[in-house]
Amino acid sequence: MNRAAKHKPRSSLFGPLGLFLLLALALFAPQNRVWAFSVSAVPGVGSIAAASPTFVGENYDPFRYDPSGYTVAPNTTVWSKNPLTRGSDIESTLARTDYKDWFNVGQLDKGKFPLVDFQRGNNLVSLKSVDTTGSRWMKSMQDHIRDLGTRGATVGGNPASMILDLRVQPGGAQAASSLGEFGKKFGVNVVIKEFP
Amino acid sequence: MMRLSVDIITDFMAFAPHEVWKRLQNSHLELLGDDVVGELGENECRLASVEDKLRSASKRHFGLSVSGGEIQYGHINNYAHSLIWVQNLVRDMADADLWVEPFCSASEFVQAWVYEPDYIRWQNAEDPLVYQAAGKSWQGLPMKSNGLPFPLEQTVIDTSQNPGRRVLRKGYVEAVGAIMWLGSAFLNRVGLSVAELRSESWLDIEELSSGALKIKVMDEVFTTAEADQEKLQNGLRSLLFRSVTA
Repeated sequence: MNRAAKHKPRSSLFGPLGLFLLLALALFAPQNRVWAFSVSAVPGVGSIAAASPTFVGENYDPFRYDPSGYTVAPNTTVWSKNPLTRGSDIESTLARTDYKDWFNVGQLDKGKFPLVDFQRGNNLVSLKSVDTTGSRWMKSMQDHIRDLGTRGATVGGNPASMILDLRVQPGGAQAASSLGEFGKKFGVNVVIKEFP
Repeated sequence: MMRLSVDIITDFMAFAPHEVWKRLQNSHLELLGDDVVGELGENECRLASVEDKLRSASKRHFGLSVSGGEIQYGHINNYAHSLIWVQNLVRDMADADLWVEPFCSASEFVQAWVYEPDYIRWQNAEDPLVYQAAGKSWQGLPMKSNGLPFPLEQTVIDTSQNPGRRVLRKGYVEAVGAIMWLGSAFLNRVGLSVAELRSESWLDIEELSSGALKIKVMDEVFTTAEADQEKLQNGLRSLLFRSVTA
Protein backbone atom coordinates (compact mmCIF):
# COMPACT_ATOMS: atom_id res chain seq x y z
CA MET A 1 0.00 0.00 0.00
CA ASN A 2 2.65 2.49 1.10
CA ARG A 3 4.75 1.75 -1.91
CA ALA A 4 1.80 2.33 -4.20
CA ALA A 5 1.04 5.63 -2.48
CA LYS A 6 4.61 6.79 -2.88
CA HIS A 7 4.49 6.25 -6.59
CA LYS A 8 1.13 7.86 -7.11
CA PRO A 9 1.41 10.40 -9.95
CA ARG A 10 1.40 13.98 -8.68
CA SER A 11 -1.59 16.09 -9.46
CA SER A 12 -0.87 18.82 -11.97
CA LEU A 13 -2.37 21.25 -9.40
CA PHE A 14 0.89 21.01 -7.50
CA GLY A 15 2.98 21.87 -10.48
CA PRO A 16 4.38 25.39 -10.90
CA LEU A 17 1.18 26.62 -12.53
CA GLY A 18 -1.00 25.18 -9.70
CA LEU A 19 1.10 26.83 -7.04
CA PHE A 20 0.83 30.15 -8.85
CA LEU A 21 -2.97 29.87 -9.01
CA LEU A 22 -3.25 29.04 -5.31
CA LEU A 23 -1.04 32.00 -4.40
CA ALA A 24 -3.14 34.31 -6.56
CA LEU A 25 -6.35 33.08 -4.98
CA ALA A 26 -5.00 33.63 -1.49
CA LEU A 27 -3.87 37.17 -2.28
CA PHE A 28 -6.93 38.41 -4.19
CA ALA A 29 -9.87 36.63 -2.54
CA PRO A 30 -12.25 39.19 -0.91
CA GLN A 31 -11.91 37.72 2.58
CA ASN A 32 -10.35 34.79 4.36
CA ARG A 33 -12.87 32.10 5.25
CA VAL A 34 -13.27 28.41 5.70
CA TRP A 35 -15.30 27.53 2.69
CA ALA A 36 -17.62 25.01 4.28
CA PHE A 37 -18.80 27.19 7.20
CA SER A 38 -19.67 30.78 7.77
CA VAL A 39 -18.10 30.98 11.21
CA SER A 40 -14.45 31.39 11.87
CA ALA A 41 -14.15 30.12 15.41
CA VAL A 42 -15.37 27.22 17.47
CA PRO A 43 -17.87 28.49 20.05
CA GLY A 44 -16.10 29.07 23.31
CA VAL A 45 -17.34 28.59 26.81
CA GLY A 46 -19.68 31.38 27.77
CA SER A 47 -19.90 32.96 24.36
CA ILE A 48 -21.55 32.38 21.07
CA ALA A 49 -19.23 32.70 18.15
CA ALA A 50 -20.04 34.98 15.27
CA ALA A 51 -22.56 32.89 13.45
CA SER A 52 -25.62 33.81 11.51
CA PRO A 53 -28.95 32.63 12.97
CA THR A 54 -29.40 30.60 9.80
CA PHE A 55 -26.20 28.76 10.45
CA VAL A 56 -27.16 27.92 13.99
CA GLY A 57 -30.61 26.83 12.92
CA GLU A 58 -29.25 24.51 10.28
CA ASN A 59 -26.60 22.86 12.33
CA TYR A 60 -27.61 23.00 15.97
CA ASP A 61 -30.81 22.71 17.82
CA PRO A 62 -30.76 26.20 19.36
CA PHE A 63 -32.39 24.88 22.52
CA ARG A 64 -29.51 22.47 22.97
CA TYR A 65 -26.76 25.04 22.65
CA ASP A 66 -24.99 25.57 25.90
CA PRO A 67 -22.88 28.68 26.35
CA SER A 68 -21.52 27.36 29.62
CA GLY A 69 -19.78 24.48 27.93
CA TYR A 70 -22.46 21.86 28.63
CA THR A 71 -24.94 20.67 26.08
CA VAL A 72 -27.90 22.66 27.34
CA ALA A 73 -28.22 26.29 28.25
CA PRO A 74 -28.94 26.99 31.93
CA ASN A 75 -32.21 28.68 31.19
CA THR A 76 -33.69 25.78 29.23
CA THR A 77 -35.73 23.17 31.12
CA VAL A 78 -34.51 19.71 31.92
CA TRP A 79 -37.11 18.39 29.45
CA SER A 80 -35.21 19.75 26.47
CA LYS A 81 -32.22 17.55 27.26
CA ASN A 82 -31.63 14.14 25.75
CA PRO A 83 -33.26 11.34 27.79
CA LEU A 84 -30.02 10.05 29.35
CA THR A 85 -28.84 13.47 30.51
CA ARG A 86 -32.35 14.35 31.63
CA GLY A 87 -32.71 11.15 33.67
CA SER A 88 -29.37 11.62 35.29
CA ASP A 89 -30.06 15.31 36.07
CA ILE A 90 -33.48 14.56 37.57
CA GLU A 91 -32.06 11.72 39.64
CA SER A 92 -29.28 13.86 41.06
CA THR A 93 -31.68 16.72 41.77
CA LEU A 94 -34.11 14.41 43.57
CA ALA A 95 -31.29 12.63 45.40
CA ARG A 96 -30.42 16.02 46.94
CA THR A 97 -34.02 17.00 47.66
CA ASP A 98 -36.98 14.57 47.75
CA TYR A 99 -34.81 11.51 48.35
CA LYS A 100 -32.18 13.07 50.59
CA ASP A 101 -33.19 10.78 53.47
CA TRP A 102 -33.20 7.65 51.29
CA PHE A 103 -30.28 5.43 50.45
CA ASN A 104 -29.19 6.15 46.90
CA VAL A 105 -28.82 2.62 45.54
CA GLY A 106 -28.42 4.04 42.05
CA GLN A 107 -24.98 5.39 42.92
CA LEU A 108 -23.65 1.86 43.46
CA ASP A 109 -21.75 0.08 40.73
CA LYS A 110 -20.65 3.39 39.17
CA GLY A 111 -24.23 4.54 38.83
CA LYS A 112 -25.28 1.44 36.91
CA PHE A 113 -26.96 -0.54 39.65
CA PRO A 114 -29.80 -2.33 37.90
CA LEU A 115 -33.42 -1.18 38.17
CA VAL A 116 -33.55 0.27 41.68
CA ASP A 117 -32.43 3.84 42.51
CA PHE A 118 -33.49 4.52 46.10
CA GLN A 119 -34.23 2.42 49.17
CA ARG A 120 -35.81 3.27 52.46
CA GLY A 121 -37.00 0.55 54.81
CA ASN A 122 -39.03 -1.90 52.83
CA ASN A 123 -39.47 0.43 49.87
CA LEU A 124 -37.40 0.10 46.71
CA VAL A 125 -37.84 2.87 44.18
CA SER A 126 -37.00 2.91 40.53
CA LEU A 127 -36.98 6.50 39.31
CA LYS A 128 -37.74 7.16 35.65
CA SER A 129 -38.39 10.31 33.68
CA VAL A 130 -40.54 10.30 30.58
CA ASP A 131 -41.67 12.94 28.12
CA THR A 132 -45.20 11.74 27.48
CA THR A 133 -45.47 13.69 24.24
CA GLY A 134 -43.28 11.03 22.62
CA SER A 135 -44.60 7.86 21.02
CA ARG A 136 -42.69 4.86 22.36
CA TRP A 137 -42.45 5.59 26.05
CA MET A 138 -45.57 3.63 27.07
CA LYS A 139 -44.23 0.28 25.79
CA SER A 140 -40.88 1.03 27.32
CA MET A 141 -42.41 1.77 30.74
CA GLN A 142 -44.57 -1.36 30.56
CA ASP A 143 -41.41 -3.35 29.88
CA HIS A 144 -39.71 -1.69 32.83
CA ILE A 145 -42.64 -2.51 35.10
CA ARG A 146 -42.54 -6.16 34.02
CA ASP A 147 -38.79 -6.10 34.74
CA LEU A 148 -39.42 -4.77 38.25
CA GLY A 149 -42.14 -7.33 38.93
CA THR A 150 -39.97 -10.15 37.65
CA ARG A 151 -36.96 -9.08 39.65
CA GLY A 152 -38.80 -8.57 42.94
CA ALA A 153 -36.66 -8.19 46.03
CA THR A 154 -36.61 -8.83 49.71
CA VAL A 155 -35.49 -6.46 52.43
CA GLY A 156 -34.55 -8.23 55.65
CA GLY A 157 -36.19 -11.40 54.38
CA ASN A 158 -39.55 -9.73 53.65
CA PRO A 159 -40.87 -8.97 50.17
CA ALA A 160 -39.99 -5.38 49.30
CA SER A 161 -42.51 -2.86 48.11
CA MET A 162 -41.54 -2.26 44.47
CA ILE A 163 -42.24 1.30 43.40
CA LEU A 164 -41.87 3.12 40.12
CA ASP A 165 -41.55 6.88 40.65
CA LEU A 166 -42.34 8.27 37.23
CA ARG A 167 -41.55 11.94 36.64
CA VAL A 168 -43.13 13.49 33.59
CA GLN A 169 -43.04 16.92 32.02
CA PRO A 170 -45.44 19.60 33.34
CA GLY A 171 -48.94 18.81 32.07
CA GLY A 172 -47.99 15.27 31.03
CA ALA A 173 -49.18 13.17 33.97
CA GLN A 174 -52.62 12.19 32.71
CA ALA A 175 -51.17 10.53 29.63
CA ALA A 176 -49.33 8.10 31.89
CA SER A 177 -52.24 7.34 34.23
CA SER A 178 -52.95 3.85 32.81
CA LEU A 179 -49.58 2.68 34.10
CA GLY A 180 -51.03 2.60 37.61
CA GLU A 181 -53.38 -0.25 36.72
CA PHE A 182 -50.64 -1.96 34.75
CA GLY A 183 -48.22 -1.73 37.65
CA LYS A 184 -50.70 -3.10 40.17
CA LYS A 185 -51.11 -6.26 38.14
CA PHE A 186 -47.37 -6.85 38.20
CA GLY A 187 -46.90 -5.96 41.86
CA VAL A 188 -45.41 -2.53 41.21
CA ASN A 189 -46.79 0.61 42.80
CA VAL A 190 -46.60 3.37 40.18
CA VAL A 191 -46.51 6.98 41.41
CA ILE A 192 -46.75 9.58 38.65
CA LYS A 193 -45.66 13.17 39.26
CA GLU A 194 -44.82 16.15 37.16
CA PHE A 195 -41.28 17.53 37.36
CA PRO A 196 -40.40 20.09 38.51
CA MET B 1 -68.12 -4.05 20.33
CA MET B 2 -66.36 -4.18 23.69
CA ARG B 3 -64.02 -7.13 23.87
CA LEU B 4 -63.43 -8.98 27.10
CA SER B 5 -60.21 -9.79 28.90
CA VAL B 6 -58.87 -12.89 30.59
CA ASP B 7 -56.30 -13.17 33.39
CA ILE B 8 -54.50 -16.51 33.62
CA ILE B 9 -52.39 -17.10 36.73
CA THR B 10 -49.69 -19.76 36.80
CA ASP B 11 -46.91 -20.69 39.18
CA PHE B 12 -43.98 -18.30 39.08
CA MET B 13 -42.11 -18.55 35.77
CA ALA B 14 -43.74 -21.87 34.98
CA PHE B 15 -43.64 -21.20 31.25
CA ALA B 16 -41.01 -19.75 28.95
CA PRO B 17 -42.29 -16.74 26.99
CA HIS B 18 -42.14 -18.53 23.61
CA GLU B 19 -44.10 -21.43 25.11
CA VAL B 20 -46.85 -19.07 26.29
CA TRP B 21 -46.95 -17.46 22.88
CA LYS B 22 -47.13 -20.79 21.02
CA ARG B 23 -50.00 -22.01 23.17
CA LEU B 24 -51.94 -18.78 22.67
CA GLN B 25 -51.26 -18.65 18.95
CA ASN B 26 -52.36 -22.26 18.44
CA SER B 27 -55.60 -21.52 20.25
CA HIS B 28 -56.38 -18.60 17.91
CA LEU B 29 -54.81 -19.35 14.56
CA GLU B 30 -56.87 -16.77 12.72
CA LEU B 31 -56.60 -13.84 15.13
CA LEU B 32 -52.91 -14.55 15.78
CA GLY B 33 -52.03 -15.92 12.34
CA ASP B 34 -48.47 -15.83 11.04
CA ASP B 35 -49.24 -13.08 8.54
CA VAL B 36 -50.86 -10.77 11.06
CA VAL B 37 -48.72 -7.78 11.99
CA GLY B 38 -48.34 -6.90 15.65
CA GLU B 39 -45.98 -4.97 17.89
CA LEU B 40 -43.68 -6.98 20.11
CA GLY B 41 -42.47 -4.53 22.72
CA GLU B 42 -41.64 -1.44 20.70
CA ASN B 43 -41.05 -3.23 17.40
CA GLU B 44 -43.53 -3.98 14.67
CA CYS B 45 -43.29 -7.51 13.31
CA ARG B 46 -45.22 -10.30 11.61
CA LEU B 47 -46.47 -12.77 14.17
CA ALA B 48 -44.60 -15.55 12.33
CA SER B 49 -41.40 -14.16 13.80
CA VAL B 50 -42.59 -13.81 17.41
CA GLU B 51 -41.67 -17.31 18.57
CA ASP B 52 -38.06 -16.99 17.38
CA LYS B 53 -37.75 -13.51 18.80
CA LEU B 54 -38.99 -14.71 22.20
CA ARG B 55 -36.71 -17.76 22.13
CA SER B 56 -33.65 -15.60 21.57
CA ALA B 57 -34.67 -12.77 23.90
CA SER B 58 -32.91 -12.47 27.23
CA LYS B 59 -36.05 -11.30 29.03
CA ARG B 60 -38.49 -13.77 30.50
CA HIS B 61 -41.53 -11.61 29.84
CA PHE B 62 -43.13 -9.85 26.89
CA GLY B 63 -45.88 -7.52 25.74
CA LEU B 64 -47.50 -7.87 22.34
CA SER B 65 -50.05 -5.51 20.80
CA VAL B 66 -52.21 -7.08 18.13
CA SER B 67 -55.66 -6.70 16.59
CA GLY B 68 -56.68 -3.87 18.91
CA GLY B 69 -55.73 -5.77 22.05
CA GLU B 70 -52.69 -6.84 23.99
CA ILE B 71 -51.09 -9.94 25.38
CA GLN B 72 -48.90 -9.38 28.40
CA TYR B 73 -46.85 -12.09 30.05
CA GLY B 74 -44.99 -11.21 33.22
CA HIS B 75 -44.00 -12.40 36.66
CA ILE B 76 -44.80 -11.16 40.10
CA ASN B 77 -41.82 -12.42 42.04
CA ASN B 78 -42.86 -11.05 45.43
CA TYR B 79 -46.19 -12.85 45.15
CA ALA B 80 -44.82 -16.05 43.61
CA HIS B 81 -46.97 -16.21 40.51
CA SER B 82 -47.00 -15.24 36.85
CA LEU B 83 -49.68 -13.54 34.80
CA ILE B 84 -50.83 -14.13 31.24
CA TRP B 85 -53.05 -11.15 30.53
CA VAL B 86 -55.14 -11.34 27.38
CA GLN B 87 -56.48 -7.83 27.11
CA ASN B 88 -59.42 -6.80 24.91
CA LEU B 89 -59.05 -9.82 22.63
CA VAL B 90 -61.72 -12.16 24.01
CA ARG B 91 -64.89 -12.17 21.88
CA ASP B 92 -67.29 -13.83 24.34
CA MET B 93 -67.55 -16.44 27.09
CA ALA B 94 -67.07 -19.34 24.67
CA ASP B 95 -63.94 -17.70 23.31
CA ALA B 96 -62.62 -17.27 26.86
CA ASP B 97 -62.56 -21.08 27.10
CA LEU B 98 -60.25 -21.23 24.09
CA TRP B 99 -57.78 -18.80 25.66
CA VAL B 100 -57.67 -20.62 28.98
CA GLU B 101 -57.69 -24.25 27.78
CA PRO B 102 -54.03 -24.38 26.67
CA PHE B 103 -52.93 -23.70 30.23
CA CYS B 104 -55.48 -25.28 32.54
CA SER B 105 -54.24 -28.84 31.94
CA ALA B 106 -50.78 -27.93 33.26
CA SER B 107 -49.99 -28.74 36.87
CA GLU B 108 -48.61 -25.18 37.20
CA PHE B 109 -51.99 -23.69 36.35
CA VAL B 110 -53.48 -21.77 39.28
CA GLN B 111 -56.60 -19.89 38.18
CA ALA B 112 -58.18 -17.84 35.40
CA TRP B 113 -61.22 -15.64 35.00
CA VAL B 114 -62.91 -13.59 32.31
CA TYR B 115 -64.02 -10.00 32.85
CA GLU B 116 -65.20 -6.78 31.30
CA PRO B 117 -62.05 -4.60 31.31
CA ASP B 118 -63.75 -1.25 31.78
CA TYR B 119 -65.72 -2.38 34.81
CA ILE B 120 -62.66 -3.90 36.45
CA ARG B 121 -60.52 -0.84 35.66
CA TRP B 122 -62.87 1.44 37.61
CA GLN B 123 -63.27 -1.05 40.44
CA ASN B 124 -59.52 -0.98 40.93
CA ALA B 125 -58.51 2.57 39.99
CA GLU B 126 -56.87 4.18 43.03
CA ASP B 127 -55.06 7.18 41.62
CA PRO B 128 -57.30 10.27 41.17
CA LEU B 129 -55.17 10.92 38.07
CA VAL B 130 -57.04 8.09 36.30
CA TYR B 131 -60.34 9.85 37.01
CA GLN B 132 -58.88 13.18 35.96
CA ALA B 133 -57.65 11.71 32.66
CA ALA B 134 -61.10 10.27 31.93
CA GLY B 135 -62.91 13.45 33.00
CA LYS B 136 -64.72 11.58 35.80
CA SER B 137 -65.31 12.86 39.29
CA TRP B 138 -64.01 10.96 42.32
CA GLN B 139 -65.89 13.18 44.77
CA GLY B 140 -67.67 11.12 47.39
CA LEU B 141 -65.48 8.04 46.95
CA PRO B 142 -63.72 6.77 50.06
CA MET B 143 -60.12 7.93 50.25
CA LYS B 144 -57.04 6.70 52.09
CA SER B 145 -53.29 7.20 52.15
CA ASN B 146 -51.28 5.00 49.81
CA GLY B 147 -49.10 4.24 52.85
CA LEU B 148 -45.83 5.22 51.20
CA PRO B 149 -43.26 7.57 52.73
CA PHE B 150 -42.34 11.02 51.38
CA PRO B 151 -42.00 11.85 48.49
CA LEU B 152 -44.33 9.10 47.33
CA GLU B 153 -47.24 9.46 49.73
CA GLN B 154 -50.56 10.27 48.09
CA THR B 155 -54.21 10.26 48.96
CA VAL B 156 -55.80 7.60 46.81
CA ILE B 157 -59.22 6.07 46.33
CA ASP B 158 -59.91 3.23 48.73
CA THR B 159 -60.99 0.25 46.61
CA SER B 160 -60.72 -2.27 49.42
CA GLN B 161 -64.49 -2.78 49.67
CA ASN B 162 -65.22 -2.88 45.95
CA PRO B 163 -66.82 -6.15 44.81
CA GLY B 164 -64.60 -6.22 41.70
CA ARG B 165 -61.30 -5.54 43.47
CA ARG B 166 -58.17 -7.45 42.54
CA VAL B 167 -55.62 -8.17 45.27
CA LEU B 168 -52.28 -9.92 44.85
CA ARG B 169 -51.71 -12.85 47.20
CA LYS B 170 -48.84 -15.25 47.61
CA GLY B 171 -49.29 -17.83 44.84
CA TYR B 172 -52.62 -16.55 43.52
CA VAL B 173 -54.80 -13.48 42.99
CA GLU B 174 -57.85 -12.59 45.05
CA ALA B 175 -60.35 -11.71 42.33
CA VAL B 176 -63.70 -12.99 41.12
CA GLY B 177 -65.28 -13.49 37.71
CA ALA B 178 -68.68 -14.70 36.55
CA ILE B 179 -66.77 -17.62 35.03
CA MET B 180 -63.60 -18.85 36.67
CA TRP B 181 -61.22 -21.73 36.08
CA LEU B 182 -59.57 -23.10 39.21
CA GLY B 183 -56.59 -25.47 39.33
CA SER B 184 -55.74 -27.78 42.19
CA ALA B 185 -52.88 -25.44 43.14
CA PHE B 186 -55.44 -22.69 43.74
CA LEU B 187 -57.69 -24.89 45.89
CA ASN B 188 -54.70 -25.93 47.99
CA ARG B 189 -53.54 -22.36 48.49
CA VAL B 190 -56.92 -21.02 49.60
CA GLY B 191 -57.72 -24.16 51.61
CA LEU B 192 -60.81 -25.25 49.69
CA SER B 193 -61.94 -28.69 48.61
CA VAL B 194 -63.97 -29.67 45.54
CA ALA B 195 -66.61 -31.10 47.88
CA GLU B 196 -67.00 -27.75 49.62
CA LEU B 197 -67.54 -26.02 46.32
CA ARG B 198 -70.00 -28.69 45.18
CA SER B 199 -72.08 -28.10 48.27
CA GLU B 200 -72.84 -24.56 47.11
CA SER B 201 -76.01 -24.91 45.06
CA TRP B 202 -75.74 -21.44 43.49
CA LEU B 203 -72.51 -22.41 41.72
CA ASP B 204 -72.51 -24.16 38.38
CA ILE B 205 -69.45 -26.42 38.57
CA GLU B 206 -67.89 -28.38 35.75
CA GLU B 207 -64.91 -30.66 36.20
CA LEU B 208 -62.81 -30.36 33.05
CA SER B 209 -60.89 -33.24 31.51
CA SER B 210 -57.75 -31.31 32.39
CA GLY B 211 -58.60 -31.73 36.07
CA ALA B 212 -59.35 -28.03 36.58
CA LEU B 213 -62.73 -26.81 37.77
CA LYS B 214 -64.82 -24.37 35.82
CA ILE B 215 -67.28 -22.48 37.98
CA LYS B 216 -70.00 -20.20 36.71
CA VAL B 217 -72.35 -17.87 38.57
CA MET B 218 -73.69 -15.91 35.59
CA ASP B 219 -73.83 -16.37 31.83
CA GLU B 220 -72.25 -12.97 31.20
CA VAL B 221 -69.38 -11.09 32.80
CA PHE B 222 -69.90 -8.79 35.77
CA THR B 223 -70.56 -5.23 34.70
CA THR B 224 -71.72 -3.53 37.88
CA ALA B 225 -71.11 -3.47 41.61
CA GLU B 226 -74.80 -3.15 42.39
CA ALA B 227 -77.87 -5.29 43.09
CA ASP B 228 -77.64 -9.02 42.28
CA GLN B 229 -74.20 -8.73 40.74
CA GLU B 230 -72.83 -7.17 43.91
CA LYS B 231 -74.21 -10.07 45.97
CA LEU B 232 -72.77 -12.62 43.57
CA GLN B 233 -69.32 -11.03 43.59
CA ASN B 234 -69.22 -10.66 47.36
CA GLY B 235 -70.58 -14.17 47.86
CA LEU B 236 -68.04 -15.68 45.50
CA ARG B 237 -65.20 -13.77 47.14
CA SER B 238 -66.10 -14.84 50.64
CA LEU B 239 -66.46 -18.45 49.49
CA LEU B 240 -63.19 -18.64 47.57
CA PHE B 241 -61.05 -16.42 49.77
CA ARG B 242 -62.58 -16.80 53.20
CA SER B 243 -59.20 -17.66 54.68
CA VAL B 244 -57.83 -14.23 53.70
CA THR B 245 -60.91 -12.02 53.75
CA ALA B 246 -62.23 -13.13 57.14
